[in-house]
Amino acid sequence: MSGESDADIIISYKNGNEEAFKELVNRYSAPLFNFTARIGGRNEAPDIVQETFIKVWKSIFRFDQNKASFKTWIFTIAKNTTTDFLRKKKSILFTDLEKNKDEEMISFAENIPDENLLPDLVLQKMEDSQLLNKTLEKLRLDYREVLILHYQEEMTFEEIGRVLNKPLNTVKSQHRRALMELRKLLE
Amino acid sequence: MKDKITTIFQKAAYSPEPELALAVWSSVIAQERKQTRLKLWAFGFTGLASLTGLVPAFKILFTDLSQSGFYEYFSLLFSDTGSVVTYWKEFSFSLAEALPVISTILTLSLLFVCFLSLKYLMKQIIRSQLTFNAAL
Repeated sequence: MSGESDADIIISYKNGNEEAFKELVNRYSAPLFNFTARIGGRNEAPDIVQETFIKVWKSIFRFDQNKASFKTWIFTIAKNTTTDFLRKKKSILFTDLEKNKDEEMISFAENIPDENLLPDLVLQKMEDSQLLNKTLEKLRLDYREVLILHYQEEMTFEEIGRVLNKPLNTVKSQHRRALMELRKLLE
Repeated sequence: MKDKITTIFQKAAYSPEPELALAVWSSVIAQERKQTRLKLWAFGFTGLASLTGLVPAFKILFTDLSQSGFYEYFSLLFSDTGSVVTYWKEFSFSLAEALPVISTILTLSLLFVCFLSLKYLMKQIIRSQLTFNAAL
């Protein structure tokens, strides 16, 4: 079953194969842990992942594969669960929620070519995983989300837009600004 | 450049405890068991309630059927089949008119609920068996 696509596994589960859900759990536990740990905290991540999977299990029969991929769907649930979790704990920063206001602002970062966003020196520093993780923690939450989903989960900007419920252009500009910010912090 | 950043980022990904997937699976199983138990009780209770309600419902239906003359019209079907065939339209109207609508609807509804509960009850029993096996 490990070689099967998500769509096939879901069909199998919907047809009564209980074990198929276990495969989804095995497949997505680690990526969801990484994502939720980045945005909700490492200590809370296991609980958030658990909560996410229970929500997925409850609504998997309503999931429509024609509307979105399973990966996008599960990450959307994880993102919302993390937001709820943080809201409950009241640890989410007001500024993190408000920062979207300046989303459409034209930034000078938009004019820099992609290849110049992270020079070799910065890339070399990024090779140090500990340093990279510490720097990522200093990044704004929305920037961090975009970088994690794009580079660690290898999602396209369209998919990230769907997960974060943001327009494509916003995601693209956030990605550029996130790289700029990362560069600034590492330099 | 994207590939290089991807490699660097993936190297830095946080890894969960090895038992996370198992813990998640156990919590899903526990949730499923809880829901199955709840549904078992709910469908069991509904089925039993509708089954109990069927006794007086049938009594009312039989009383209404005998009072409205439905049996008399209906017996014509066997005693005077020829006339029934000739005047089938009139016969059908009379039969429909003599049918006690409310008690018939009540009885059929209760029967429907009873069978539906039984169906879901069986489904939940099978599901709970499967959940138990999956947990093993």
